[in-house]
Amino acid sequence: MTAAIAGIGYTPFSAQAGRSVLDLAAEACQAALDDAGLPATEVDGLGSFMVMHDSVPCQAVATTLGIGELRLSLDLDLGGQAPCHLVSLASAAITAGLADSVLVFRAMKGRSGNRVGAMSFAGGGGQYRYPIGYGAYMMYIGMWAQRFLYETGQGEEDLAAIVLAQREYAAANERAYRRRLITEEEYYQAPYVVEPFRAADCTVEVDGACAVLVTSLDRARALRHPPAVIAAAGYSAGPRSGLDIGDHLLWADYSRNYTHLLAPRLYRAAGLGPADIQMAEIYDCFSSTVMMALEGLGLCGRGESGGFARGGGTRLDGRLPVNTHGGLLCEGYLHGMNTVAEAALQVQGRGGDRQAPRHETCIVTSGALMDGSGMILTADR
Amino acid sequence: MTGPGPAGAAQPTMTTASALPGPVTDEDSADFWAGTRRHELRLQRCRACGQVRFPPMPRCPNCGSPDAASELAEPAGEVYSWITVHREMSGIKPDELPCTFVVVDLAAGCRMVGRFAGFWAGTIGDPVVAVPADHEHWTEIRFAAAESSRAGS
Repeated sequence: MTAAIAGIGYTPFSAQAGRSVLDLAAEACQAALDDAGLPATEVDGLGSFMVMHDSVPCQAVATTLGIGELRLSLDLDLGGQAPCHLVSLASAAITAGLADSVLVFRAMKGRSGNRVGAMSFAGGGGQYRYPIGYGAYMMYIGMWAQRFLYETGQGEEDLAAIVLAQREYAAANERAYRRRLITEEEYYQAPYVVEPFRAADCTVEVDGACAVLVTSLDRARALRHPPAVIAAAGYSAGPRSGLDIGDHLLWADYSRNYTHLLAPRLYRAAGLGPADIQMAEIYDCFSSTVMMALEGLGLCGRGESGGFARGGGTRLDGRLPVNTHGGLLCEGYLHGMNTVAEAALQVQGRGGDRQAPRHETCIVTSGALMDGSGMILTADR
Repeated sequence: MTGPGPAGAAQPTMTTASALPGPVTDEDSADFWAGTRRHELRLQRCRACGQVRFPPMPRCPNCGSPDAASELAEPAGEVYSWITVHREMSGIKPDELPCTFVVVDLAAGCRMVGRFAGFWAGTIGDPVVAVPADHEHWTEIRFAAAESSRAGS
């Protein structure tokens, strides 16, 4: 049995929600149900993730929504690697008969509450990082970006191209937190935060929640919108992925992340190849991760992602529209749950002013370094 | 910093009066941190496959063997990657900006990350040496340009 995404829900993304995380979670989940036209009493599974207890467990959301019996409850202790992973697990659970309809959500006060960028992650590797001041996640991504750009012969003009294209998308997205267009000159005028990143290369932290409803394709066909079919989904943590999500010291090659390992599996499961992919929603806590994933997924050749973006390839009229909501760089840092939601919206043809013209196949990623997840969504064919 | 042989001896030492909280050590890491306090770079070498590893951990990440020995490693290597922090962040004081961190491929065969001691004008592949930086209750390992270290000794 194949599964599909049938509903999408959001709260507004803001700097200060002024409400509890549970309230945000419940609103996004209810919105996803309303979007699909499915009553909460039909939901029997929930999945979510949190970093250092910055969110609420599935149990609390089930209670708040008045869900009857929960047959599947997935609380992952992960960050941005989780969204596609959770959709994958929900899809597998539905296929296996463990659940019928699963809400996958992320809810957080990422701006006014616990800010992940400054968190100390659990695990044994932190003692070698935090005491020396090497403690912000952007430092780790920056370390990879620097090596990636060096090895692939790319540079800041390529990061700038990724950023500028996503700013254009965000301008057409009323949900985006950062909607102001910037010029290339403005990009370069901003000082480095952590070289090679300037402020515009970094995601914008927000308060908010986002949820998607995963159910069987058969059931999805009976609901309000055309299904976004989950043609393939999976997770990958490469060998020696470290002692915690910030411990990258044992990873062999900083110019290749988990997408290299995951991509062949996704394509095989979907029966598609990179040339069949019409659009991409790529996890972008920082601009460099878009380039690394485009190359890792085989959508661009090695060292060619920057040139592809500079040539307009990632824009709405380009060969492969990428991050049509403006990405996490602009829409807001819901740890990639909103990246999944945007992919589903696009495949369903509900992208509004930013709708990609060809949207039958979309590849999605969650995560940036040693581990992460991904999926391929297709229109119902 | 004390090395495994004569070649690694007589490296410069740096003392800082930083308010940084020290590492929360554990059974796996105690030997490493005790070593840095003595200005030694101590790494685990797997007795089964012979590979050196960092961070310290109870089994070899390459072959799975729990059998390892602690050894003095040559405190030198090459820069694999680097970043420079330009904005105040947790653990970095304003007067330390800009502050460069380097990931170093140690000659021993594993990777470490540390602050670069001094102004960074280097690039990937540059040779560096490990230098101890003493805090009140713990000792950090930083890296310095290999040339300037030789010039100063």
